Amino acid sequence: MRQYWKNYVWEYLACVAASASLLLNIAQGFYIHDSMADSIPLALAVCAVLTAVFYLGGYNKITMALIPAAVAAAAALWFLALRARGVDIVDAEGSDTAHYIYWLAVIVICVAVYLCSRFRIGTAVLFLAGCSVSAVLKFFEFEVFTWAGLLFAGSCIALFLLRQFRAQAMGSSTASPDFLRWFRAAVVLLLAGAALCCGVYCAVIRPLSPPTVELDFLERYLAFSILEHTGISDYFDIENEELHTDETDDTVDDTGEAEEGDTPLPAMPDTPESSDSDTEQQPPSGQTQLFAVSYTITPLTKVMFSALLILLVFALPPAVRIFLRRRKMNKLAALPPSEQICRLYRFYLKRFKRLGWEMRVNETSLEYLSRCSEPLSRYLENTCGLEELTYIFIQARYGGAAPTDEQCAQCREIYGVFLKNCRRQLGTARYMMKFFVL
Amino acid sequence: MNEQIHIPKETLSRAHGQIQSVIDNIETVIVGKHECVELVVLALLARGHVLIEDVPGVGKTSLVSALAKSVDCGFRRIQFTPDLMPSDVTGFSVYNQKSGEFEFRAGGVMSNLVLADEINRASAKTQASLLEAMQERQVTVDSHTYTLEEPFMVLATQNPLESFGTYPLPDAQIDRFLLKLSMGYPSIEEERRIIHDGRASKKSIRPVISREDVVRLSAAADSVFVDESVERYIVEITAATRTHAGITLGISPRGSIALYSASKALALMRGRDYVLPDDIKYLTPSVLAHRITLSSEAKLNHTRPEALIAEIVDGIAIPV
Repeated sequence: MRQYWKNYVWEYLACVAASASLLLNIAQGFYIHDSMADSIPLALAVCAVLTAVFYLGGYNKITMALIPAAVAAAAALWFLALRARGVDIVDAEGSDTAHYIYWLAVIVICVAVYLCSRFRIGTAVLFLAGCSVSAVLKFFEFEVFTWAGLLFAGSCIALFLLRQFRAQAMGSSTASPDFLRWFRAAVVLLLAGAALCCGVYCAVIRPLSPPTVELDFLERYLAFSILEHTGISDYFDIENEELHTDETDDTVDDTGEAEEGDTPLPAMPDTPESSDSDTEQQPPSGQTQLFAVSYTITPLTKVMFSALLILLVFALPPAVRIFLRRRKMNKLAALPPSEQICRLYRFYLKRFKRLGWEMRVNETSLEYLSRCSEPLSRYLENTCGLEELTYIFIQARYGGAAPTDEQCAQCREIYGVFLKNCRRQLGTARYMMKFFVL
Repeated sequence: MNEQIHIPKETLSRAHGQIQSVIDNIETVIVGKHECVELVVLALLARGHVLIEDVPGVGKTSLVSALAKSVDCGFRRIQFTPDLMPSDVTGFSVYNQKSGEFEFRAGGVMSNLVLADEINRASAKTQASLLEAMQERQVTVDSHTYTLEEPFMVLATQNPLESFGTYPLPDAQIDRFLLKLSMGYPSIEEERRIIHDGRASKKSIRPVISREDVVRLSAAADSVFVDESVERYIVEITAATRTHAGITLGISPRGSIALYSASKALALMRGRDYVLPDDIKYLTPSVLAHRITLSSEAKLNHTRPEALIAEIVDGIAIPV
């Protein structure tokens, strides 16, 4: 366990930084105001604990099974305890709803960051997605923390480099990965991405669209209307003392009051139209109309979010894996025969590892064959078998001889039959867990 | 990756057959020591020399003699004693009164297979003369250089038990031997077969290949392909010995070259024209163990060099 944490500590810290920075910007930008959301140390602590849970889960098969079960049990117990105490987690007032949405956002963000950090392409996607969210928030002049955005970008670069280091360092105990080259590549990509976004904004969006202030207002209005229609939020005017005059004091009494826990939005510039309740009141020139947003949860929203969460947790990883594997197999066919065989062999070794037959670091292919040939035979029925695969591999890998097309096809065909045999031997549930979820 | 054919299939299968016939022929005399026989034949193909450290009477001389007969090569035995002179090893010039000229009398080393029995009994100077011949494959006597005929292999023996009156080979000189072997005692059944067969089997040894075939096989061994990852694996192993806490003096580049050559010969013996990491793992105890100098702590702990080498090899990742 100590060695495991020693190997993964930097990756863990980068994940925590990425999760916390993204969470802070999303909570701030989308006005998920909650007593916990406003505390940066608390956000860091929550992300650190959740990410540690995921890393613990990845230690071995036992922790992988126990940890999620423990987390789910703890969450359920907490929920039941609150209900037993009479606390209504979801209420019409919305303040506790924001609490609920905040925790949902924490879990989703931590899961997404953890899953994406497992692959190089995942960190790139995470970087693009996170930066896009921050950029959208900034573009619409929502409140975001610039330092959090920079921290997020830096964390993604660090995760990418760590993934690359891990991939290269696995090849040999004395090989030194080309760290500097990949760091330079990451910085160049970051600058290129930033330049592209600035270019698109300056060259396309600004010339074509109205000035940002009016656009900002329109987008906010539209966004709030949409949120209102879905039942997620309701916006209403709050009292703006600057608008009060002796003539209008009475009419403003009927306007909605700000709810507890709601933070008033920043002042809006002059608008051509105002809300219905203020139809008779036109703000004096230079004065602004204030309004507030409160989030509410309707049954439809509850169902929607729950379904989305279940989909994310259970269906997304297998779907992503199936997609990536199919893409990998298609790409393999285009490679030179020797390279194809070598990659296929390593690909199968990873699958055999999931069945509990891992090739040791100091074990040769022939030693592995003599040790695991018999136990793996039932998973390789109706295929050329591990022996044939091994001999084709060692000839291609160490002998410099190009395998024939038939040999390559033979090795590729193992995959489908192997998965069918695994499904038959393990049962569907264990098969899904071993190969697609964990 | 090199996609060429390194050795034609027919050549490969013929070479494998010839080598196997030599091993089988020797095993008619040497009972139960398959690994030793294989390694000695390997050393012949790799153009290396062998140091056999073992107690008397386990068949060292019989092994060398059987090998020499199997490959139809010349065989000489030099019994090293404290009074043996370098000229006895390399040869000397003697004046012929009848012809009035100096004639060269070849020394014991002027043969294809040389058994240097109990090499640690001779003085350092005499040892050096043999070791020089081993390295250079030539001897210089009275300003004349005589090239030693191929194949040339020295099998030196030493007794691990008696140290009184001996001159242990320095570590730098032991490095010149490709392999260091120990035959060990035979098992009960093997010894029963030995005493049953007696002397009869020695007389029936006949050559199975010629001297020219041995030279061709050595050339074929040179053509065996070694992938870059396997080369890197060899170098990683030898480099690891230089930083190990239990080793004062690690493997030199000569050791890397020795392991490289030996692995090619082993691949050929097994009917392949390429080297596998398995070949490297198999050979490291015999090729590398005698080339390291243990630290004081390792000696105090009675650590064997083979165990240290095995520990180092276990810590190096196999290139997959």
